[in-house]
Amino acid sequence: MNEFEILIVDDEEAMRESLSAWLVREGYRVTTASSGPNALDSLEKHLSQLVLVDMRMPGMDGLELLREIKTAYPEVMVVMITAYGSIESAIKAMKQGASDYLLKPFDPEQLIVLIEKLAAQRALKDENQRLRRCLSEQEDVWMEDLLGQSSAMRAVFQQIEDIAQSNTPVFITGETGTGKELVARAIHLRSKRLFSPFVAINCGAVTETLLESELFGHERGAFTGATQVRRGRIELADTGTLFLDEVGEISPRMQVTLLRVLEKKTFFRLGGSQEIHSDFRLICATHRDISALIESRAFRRDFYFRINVINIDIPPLRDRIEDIPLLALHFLEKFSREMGKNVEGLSPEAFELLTKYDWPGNVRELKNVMERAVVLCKEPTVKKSLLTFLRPERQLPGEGGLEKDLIRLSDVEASHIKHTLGACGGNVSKCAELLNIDRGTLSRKIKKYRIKK
Amino acid sequence: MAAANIQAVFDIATDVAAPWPAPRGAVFSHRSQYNAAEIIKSLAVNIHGPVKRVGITSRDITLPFLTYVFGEARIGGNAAVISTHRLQLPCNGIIPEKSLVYTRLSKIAIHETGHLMGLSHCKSSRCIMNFSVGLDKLDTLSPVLCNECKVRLNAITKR
Ligand SMILES: [Zn+2]
Ligand SMILES: [Zn+2]
Repeated sequence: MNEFEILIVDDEEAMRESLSAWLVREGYRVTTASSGPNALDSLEKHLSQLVLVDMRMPGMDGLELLREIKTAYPEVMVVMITAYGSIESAIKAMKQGASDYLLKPFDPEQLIVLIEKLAAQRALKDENQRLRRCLSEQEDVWMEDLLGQSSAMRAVFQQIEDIAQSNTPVFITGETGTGKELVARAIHLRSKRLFSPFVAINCGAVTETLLESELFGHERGAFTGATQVRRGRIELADTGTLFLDEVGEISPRMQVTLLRVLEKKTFFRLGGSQEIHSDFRLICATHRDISALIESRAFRRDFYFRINVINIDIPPLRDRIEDIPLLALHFLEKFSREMGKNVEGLSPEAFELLTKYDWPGNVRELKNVMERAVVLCKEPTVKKSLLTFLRPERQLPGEGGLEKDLIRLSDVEASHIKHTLGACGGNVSKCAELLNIDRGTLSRKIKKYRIKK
Repeated sequence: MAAANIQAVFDIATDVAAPWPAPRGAVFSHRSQYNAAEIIKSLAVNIHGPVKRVGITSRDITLPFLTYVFGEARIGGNAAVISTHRLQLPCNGIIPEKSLVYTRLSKIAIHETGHLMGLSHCKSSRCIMNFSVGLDKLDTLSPVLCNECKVRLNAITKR
């Protein structure tokens, strides 16, 4: 109850005096004002959390003061004190934002209970605000890699704001490294679910059986090795957000199961017979071309419609060149600070190189490049020579001495894939089989090297 | 009895004065109740030196905004008033025994004197200064100050 301050507004001195004495004995800090304008002056100088307002006052009456207070200080709570028989005006006051009203004369119990209730509400609100502030600091850390002033990124930010509060499924598309998970987290942190868990899983990183037990959890003895009951990600995401990254890698069989979960909001643990309820907001993401997957029947149309209610498409870095300097400087500062180095900026030539490069790994790649540059840099300015490992699409003239004559492993890989893929008539699965790598990895490499199928 | 209890708890000399007339204008005509704030004002006049005055009345007392009070005293004030009116009202059809009424009266006297001595309400449920409303609550309390309030009181009287 510390620092809970009450302002009493009443034109009658006797009333002000005895009410304030009474509240002081209860341990509250109390100030008084004899009229509406005086009360507003007092609030301007010093904000009380609660104002007790007499309904009937000459000049500015209680209702008018209530309106003024609620306009200028919406967070300040107002309780109207009114005589018996004027309940209509009390109800009017409630509609205009008063927290409560007291009909004079009231029982001492009533006054104590009301004020304790309001003080507790206030304390809870303060605590929430503190948590929110703390989260928004975290959020800044998360959001910083999403920096952008380009109109494309501004549209993405706007979309995040617009949809965060709803419960609609979100489908985030964008190339590798564009920050799909950051967008998902930003949505979560702006939603009503922010105090609940954000549960992420990369569906492309695990086998189908493992994914299944990760998502649904399992009962004891559900399969060999299941020695304990384990709650799955869907269950953990209850009241929060479930983020399925690389959703394009989920098998059609699994999509059917998930579709059922999405429709019924209930599921069974593996080996379980008890239906479990989970209320989560679903956010999916992929770097793959889903319509192509649907075409090839690797992705179910009904599942796609269920998860793709709102689509946020994050543009690749090369399509928003104007953001590159901003991001580069941001990472430069960040790493320079973290490593305790004194790297302040980039030379104009270095900037030019960065904007000419086409960034297949997008922001993540830029981040790595800047980290490497700060590590290697021995001067306050990052020169172009430090960034020569970036090969712009068109080789810049006069670049690299010895390096120029070396063939990079990645070049060999790219040409080998291109060759094999051609031999398979563009069939990625077949090509992957021949190359003895999994299909997902091959698809990523094809995208990375921009190999035409 | 109230005087003896005050003396016991606060270790201050007490004396019982002659009956005090109810001040004019202290009655709420429409409520047949007396204004406790007016009574303590009238009790506080002509007090010289470190003297506190506690008035006891059988009339129902209250404040302009409340339905009733058992007693009234300002923190650090010179005068308090206590009413026995509500302490003897039948509860569930049972008229309280005289001894219970006196015990209640003594507790309120200690409580109000506590205010006069500079104490505000206390969070300890075993402390007489914890009381603010309700006879039920009053009956569960012992007529003593908790240790914290004793320390507070000590600090105040030393000043
Ligand atoms: Zn009290
Ligand atoms: Zn105490």
